[in-house]
Amino acid sequence: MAHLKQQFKDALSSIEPSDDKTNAPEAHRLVRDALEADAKLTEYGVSPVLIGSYKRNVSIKRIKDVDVFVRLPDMPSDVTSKDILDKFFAVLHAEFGTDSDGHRRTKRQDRSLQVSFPEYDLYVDAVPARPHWDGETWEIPQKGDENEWVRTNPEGLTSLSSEMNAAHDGYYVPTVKLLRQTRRAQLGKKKPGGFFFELATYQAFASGAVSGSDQAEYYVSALTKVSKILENFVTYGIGVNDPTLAGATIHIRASDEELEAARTRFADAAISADDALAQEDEGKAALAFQKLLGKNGDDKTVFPMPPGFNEDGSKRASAILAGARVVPAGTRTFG
Amino acid sequence: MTRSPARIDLSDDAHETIASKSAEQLPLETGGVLLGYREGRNIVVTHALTIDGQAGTNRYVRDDVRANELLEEFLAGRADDDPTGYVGEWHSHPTPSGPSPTDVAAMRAIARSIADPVALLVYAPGRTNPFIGLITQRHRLGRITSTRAEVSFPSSRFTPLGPLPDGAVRGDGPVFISYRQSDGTPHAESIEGLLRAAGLVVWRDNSDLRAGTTIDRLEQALTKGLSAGVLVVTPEIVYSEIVRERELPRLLELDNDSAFSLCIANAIPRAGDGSKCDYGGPDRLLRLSPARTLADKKQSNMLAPTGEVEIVRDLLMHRVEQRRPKIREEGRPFTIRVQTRPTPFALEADEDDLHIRIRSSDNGRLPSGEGLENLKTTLPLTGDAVYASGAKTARISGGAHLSVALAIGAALPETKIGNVEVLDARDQIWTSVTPEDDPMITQVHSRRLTLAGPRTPKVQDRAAIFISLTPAPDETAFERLLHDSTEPFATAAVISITGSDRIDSRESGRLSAAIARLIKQLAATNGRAEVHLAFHGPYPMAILIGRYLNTLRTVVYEWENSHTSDSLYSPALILEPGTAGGPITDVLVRGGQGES
Repeated sequence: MAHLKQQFKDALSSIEPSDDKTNAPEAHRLVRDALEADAKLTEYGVSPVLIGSYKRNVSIKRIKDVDVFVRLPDMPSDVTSKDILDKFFAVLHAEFGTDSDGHRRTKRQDRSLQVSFPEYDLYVDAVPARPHWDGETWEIPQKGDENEWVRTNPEGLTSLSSEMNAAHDGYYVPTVKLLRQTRRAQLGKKKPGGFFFELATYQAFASGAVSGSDQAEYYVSALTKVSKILENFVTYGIGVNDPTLAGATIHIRASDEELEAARTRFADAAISADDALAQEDEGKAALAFQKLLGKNGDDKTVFPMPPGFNEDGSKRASAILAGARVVPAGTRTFG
Repeated sequence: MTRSPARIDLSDDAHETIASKSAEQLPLETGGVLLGYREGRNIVVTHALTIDGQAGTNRYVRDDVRANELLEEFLAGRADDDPTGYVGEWHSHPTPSGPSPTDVAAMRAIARSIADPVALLVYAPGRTNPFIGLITQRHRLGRITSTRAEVSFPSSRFTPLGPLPDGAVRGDGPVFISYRQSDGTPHAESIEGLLRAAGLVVWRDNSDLRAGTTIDRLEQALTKGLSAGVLVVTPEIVYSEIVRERELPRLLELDNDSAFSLCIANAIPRAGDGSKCDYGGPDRLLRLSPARTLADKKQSNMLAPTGEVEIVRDLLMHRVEQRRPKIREEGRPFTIRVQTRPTPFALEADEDDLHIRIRSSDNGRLPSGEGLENLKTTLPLTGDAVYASGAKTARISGGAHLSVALAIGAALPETKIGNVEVLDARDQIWTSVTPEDDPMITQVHSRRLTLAGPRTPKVQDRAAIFISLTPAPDETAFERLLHDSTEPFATAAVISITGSDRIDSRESGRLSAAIARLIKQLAATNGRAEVHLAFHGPYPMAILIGRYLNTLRTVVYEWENSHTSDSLYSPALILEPGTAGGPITDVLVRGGQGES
């Protein structure tokens, strides 16, 4: 059994966002400040909060999008989704203007406004939200042109994530990151996106089918279960649950070809991961995990080879002798 | 058969730690311990820890207690089956020399207490291969040997740069600012603001880097026509691979062309005197030491208030030197494009000699306070630059807030620059010289206003003047100015035009001189009063009138149209062109974030 504990740790640190960790909150702050400075939005009780993978600590290098959920508890009900998106556009465009190509930095999207931050190479999505009648969840625009709203509870997901992580001895969050990285390596920019895989992973954990005693076991177990969820979704149309809204499933925009490709790639990935875990030869196992996890945002291989193995997975003849656990006593003078 | 020597394999991570820590500490030594494992005869170094110790220029003492604390911390985060542990020592030599007898003795002492071979890495910058390796080992019967070891490390992830293409240096191209984001951003921003206010176009990553791979886009920016570069050197630049591997080599190549100007903005304090900069710092932190590549170039001290201004003056004069021969040969005007409203960016580099831009305002109609502060610093330099170009005429185009237009006019006084022309949006030229075909339709008229309120001796000092060059002026905002002023005015007057609805550009020379005369008369009748000037009229006229304000102290107002209240005139600038540091001596618009 190849558990490659240190290599999984190294893989996780290799996909950990670096500079983005400081840039993302700064970009978020600039958007929040702009929205909070507007008199009309203040009247609506504007109260932006960071959501999304960044907030839930499951984002991987490089972070490109930061989501801001803009709660408007006092917005009158006659304000349509188009009105509020227009208002957001006016406020954000006035604040952020155009980039050097003369393109507007603020872009309309179906349910949010996207503001680009070229200096950080990232985007902030500001999503307006009005209270749902239950007083506990929220509604966000469904489409910009009509007054359609869809129910959501992103903050609920933030707390569910932390609970799940605690319940699994801290293995849930790193497993989501590894699954997201696997998605990126296997599907690239094709859909379904990271959010689908995050919720599929949540569902897999919630079903009780994911377990393990180390990161390798958790990863392989989650990948196997997620590939089944994906299979059921693609083949039988069984939806992936939104754990924050009872009975609701999540909606994704992926073409049939994309879904079929994702199904095949993940089915293969699950088999390959399972074989790697059972593999006695650490080099062969590492090579398989290396293929599953691909390269990070800095174009570096995510999963390293263990000591004593060549990059092609073959074992070098020499024996490995561990370094000492202590530095020999005594100060030493060099000149 | 001779056995090949044992090898010390260094990971990228360990290599970076040793190289950057050594560069940071030069001319002192520094060092620490090597972590990794042994593989056959070779030692694989996966990590290097830096251990603070006593360090001099030829001595480094490594403390074992601190080393063990750091090793324990490191091992706490590792998996239980990971073989990484202590495998040796490293330290730097400021001079390009290998292990000394002291080093060998220290390693022999270590080898006595440990059964396995231990590595010593000496990092000596300036050598072709800066790493020198030694493996020390205790044998049977206590015999200890130290043998040289090969040192290998992964090659840089940056591919070598290709040759510089033709056209990489362009006299009118933008100025590239190279800096480390983490601690260089405030300097870069400040220099950018000043350069733009001085009329130079700037390339900055935050506004000019296009979508795509950063390294490719940077390379394009560095090779498609720059006039100059500013290398901002801050302590953390030692960690910037992009500056060290891409920007610096290109800037040095560009600097070989005499048409290019490289400025070094040095923000590395000298040991023992934090106000002076360490001129060896840039070479050291960018790993050029012991070569004096940057030390032998002019450096500006960013720790002194004059450092930034020095860079702006150097680059402005460089621009003029590049342009002067052509200006003389063609006998053409010196051209300045001005914009004070939209956000500036690098695409503006064009045929104009200068392109004055100030930060866009956070505050609706008023210009940005920060932008005006920049202009206050740079306008004297701009005036000198126009003068130095030898041009007989300065031609201004674009558009600006009226307070800025008056200030630019004041920076180009009739006593210094023979003629000023202003090109308006319809390409009409407004000039300070009265042409022969002046239609003489428009006349200037002045009317004193009666002021209410008590007169105190101090009120002799202040005269409020409203210049309104459109028919039937709306005087409400000006009346509010008079009424709301905390100090009373000795006199107030409206200068307006009669005879036409609109000034013909050919009348601008005569009218601007006549208006200036009236302003001076009004000031003189009240004991050379401070003039409080509210201007409403064409922007070219503001520039032309500004040229005549040289003997006055003028508080210039900007019209502010607020959503919540009536329009009003807010004080924006104080102009005193005759004094040192003028024409702007004070900025009255509040600056920075959240201007109000």
